[in-house]
Amino acid sequence: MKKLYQWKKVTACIMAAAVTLSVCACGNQNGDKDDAGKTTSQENPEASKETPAEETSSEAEKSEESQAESEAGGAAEVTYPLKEKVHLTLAMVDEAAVTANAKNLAETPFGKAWQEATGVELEIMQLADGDALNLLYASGELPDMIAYSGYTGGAEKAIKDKIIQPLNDYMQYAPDLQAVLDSNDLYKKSSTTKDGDIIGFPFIRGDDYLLSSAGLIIRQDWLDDLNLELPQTPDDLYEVLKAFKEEKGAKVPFSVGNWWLKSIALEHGLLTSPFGLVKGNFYQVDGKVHYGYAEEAYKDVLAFLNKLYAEGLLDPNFQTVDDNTIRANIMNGETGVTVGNTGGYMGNMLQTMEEDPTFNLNGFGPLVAKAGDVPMSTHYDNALPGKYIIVTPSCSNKEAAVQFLNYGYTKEGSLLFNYGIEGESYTIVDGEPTYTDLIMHNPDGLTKQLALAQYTRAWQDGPFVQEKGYQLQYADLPSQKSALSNWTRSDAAKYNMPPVTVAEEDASEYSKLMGDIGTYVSEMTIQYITGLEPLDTFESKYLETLKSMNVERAIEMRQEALDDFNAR
Amino acid sequence: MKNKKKSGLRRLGNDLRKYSDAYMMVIPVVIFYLLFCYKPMYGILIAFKDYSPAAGIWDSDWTSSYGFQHFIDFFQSYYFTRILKNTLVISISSIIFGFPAPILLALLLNELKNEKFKRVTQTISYMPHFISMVVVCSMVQLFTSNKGFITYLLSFLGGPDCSLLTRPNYFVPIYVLSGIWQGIGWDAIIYLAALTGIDQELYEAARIDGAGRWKQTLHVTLPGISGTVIIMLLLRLGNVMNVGFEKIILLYNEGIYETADVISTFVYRKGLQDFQWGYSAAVGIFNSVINFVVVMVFNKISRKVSDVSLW
Repeated sequence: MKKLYQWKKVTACIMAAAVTLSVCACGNQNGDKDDAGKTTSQENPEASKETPAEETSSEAEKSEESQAESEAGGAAEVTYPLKEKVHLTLAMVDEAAVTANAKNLAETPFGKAWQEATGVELEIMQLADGDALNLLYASGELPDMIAYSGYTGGAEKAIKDKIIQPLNDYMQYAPDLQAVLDSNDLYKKSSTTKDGDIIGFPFIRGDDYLLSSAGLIIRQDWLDDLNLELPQTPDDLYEVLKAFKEEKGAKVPFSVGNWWLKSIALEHGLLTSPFGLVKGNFYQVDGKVHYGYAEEAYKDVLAFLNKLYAEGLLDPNFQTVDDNTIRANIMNGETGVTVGNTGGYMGNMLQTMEEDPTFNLNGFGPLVAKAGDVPMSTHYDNALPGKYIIVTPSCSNKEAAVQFLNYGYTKEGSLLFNYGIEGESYTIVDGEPTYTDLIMHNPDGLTKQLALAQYTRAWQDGPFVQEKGYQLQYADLPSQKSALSNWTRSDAAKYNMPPVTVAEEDASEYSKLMGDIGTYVSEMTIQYITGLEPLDTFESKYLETLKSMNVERAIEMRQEALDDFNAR
Repeated sequence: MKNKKKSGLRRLGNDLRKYSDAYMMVIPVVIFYLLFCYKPMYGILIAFKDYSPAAGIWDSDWTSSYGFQHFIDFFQSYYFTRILKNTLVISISSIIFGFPAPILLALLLNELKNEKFKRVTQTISYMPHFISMVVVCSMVQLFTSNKGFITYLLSFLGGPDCSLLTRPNYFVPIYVLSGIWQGIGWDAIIYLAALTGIDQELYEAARIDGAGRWKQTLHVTLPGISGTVIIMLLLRLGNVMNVGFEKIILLYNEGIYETADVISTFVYRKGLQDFQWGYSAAVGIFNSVINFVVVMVFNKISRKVSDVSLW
């Protein structure tokens, strides 16, 4: 109790000092901008010194009233900027696109605008990579907020381990998030644990158009030259690759990095449909869980890839080749087909090759058995991909943190998170927020992605609802649009697993099982593709080993989790 | 027994009084070790617990099987034999091929008569030691990629023309040879120092007895540095299970886990990527225990055979 009192005293002193300083600053400056704001801060030490100038005194009074009401637990509105001046720390993993041009997120124009709008002083705890984040979890000494993207045992375990503070008792401070969750049953279900705890502030893809962003990419100009259609079946693809090799001199017609091959092409089923397999990872058929890598049909997928590898159509270095090399190969005419996304792959290459009118790319949909079929799967993300900003139990001012994070779901916040700052990064054209040339044709030569990373969060994730307008403008080139429409056509929604995590008591066993199984699958996939392991051993060795590793138990645990989710 | 102990204590007391200055000087070192080497050992408790950061080390629950569940899981894991075998294969081949290499270099340099040439050679040979591991590994990757010069040379001898780091059976040679290249010059320094300590009169005497270069090396030089060699070997054996973890992380990929995945990389993946802190601590302890046993055994053997030992 005494400690708390002391803290209050310290805070009061700091506040007083801040006010004094801001007053001093007024005296020194010419006072050309927000005079009104300063007056307020002089008269009322409680008010934030960043009250915008245009706010009239009557509005200020109103805001005070509603603030008082919400403190009493009644009002369903938060007024920004917050009255109280707070300092909050957010831990997040370094994002190269952000730190390429700013010290950290808080220093970007976006970060500054967010702080100004909410009146919160944001400090970023920059973590080098995911491993550093895991170490932070293990240390038990947590900052106020964390950009969270998963935890062994799921959110239930993270709540039990005192990493996540469930928001249930604080939802009156997040009325706009509440409204978003209420608007859609899936949103609500996905962001709540089975005990009914609200996990945090989710990143939500607000439109189906945003769910797919990666797929198979091809040199459209080569297809045109050779009078070929976009490949649809495995045989089509084989013929196209052969033609690229023989007629276009492509040394490695199909080049793809190991991560893209496994985590996108196989895991999302870009190559599996024709062989009767939905995808490599977990999927469901009428509520029954399957693990694609443990299905018999996977053998035919591997046989196809092995054929491409053996004939020199698939990059012999696919295990080690990196994205930059692949992009360079495509632009140099050594490669004609790859797996990538609209932005980092297509966008960057098309922008780099702007000068060359012949260069053109396109995306083609997941392979199917017969031309015209609808593929069973595609790169498809859940509307809530499991990325949250969470408030920790040790947060110094939970009410303020919740109000701060709620901002992204308000009308103004949504504009800021999706489009940036009005008049700078976007303007309203015909009622639609439209990116300015600062984003689309950056005067400093930044790519769209890098420019967006400075002004918005739409390019990545964050506590807000991502809008379709972002993707429409970001991937605005005709070939990107055509790629997106080819990639989205599928029955993926039918087979996709909702974002479920296994029960907390099974979590440790599950993660041990899947750790071993995942490694084994990755290794054997590579060995079968390269032919180091003959495909004859698929049943006798591969499937048997998976069985002995107890893959059935893992599937069972996922099944329980899915049943639980559906019953909720 | 009791008597002996008592006299031991008294001796210590006398010693303390007599050399109090020396003991004062050692205090900071002792504190350093207690603080940074012994205190953290408390953390190994998590190997026997279901560690939860919220509960902390002490209050986390013990695992089942009297706290040994993580160890049992590890021994029963599909990968146990493989990573143990890989660790031993990589480590032992590093010792067999990597340990004598700097001794040979030191002997060769010692035979050089042109001082200038000797110094230049030595400088060049220990240069790679100062290159950061990340850079060394990217160089290795470059040289062994499908367009790298090593791959190019090997393809003349019937090797594959794809990146060598995608072939399981090339990993150990790549690891060991690049290790030798990186460390040979630096490690030779200590032997060169030992060589300068050999009495020149011994060489003179040997020459008078009619020993040639080869005989001199065999009968004067080698016995002269054997003490250093054995100490270095013992120290090296103490790390037999600690293979260069960063280097493997930087070089391996899923396709060659078969030969490249070792205990330390396994610990890294389990602990830092899969959040299984307790499990990974258990594996780490297993590793340390083996190291400890190996160095004890070899120390004993060495003391019996050659009178040279660490303690």
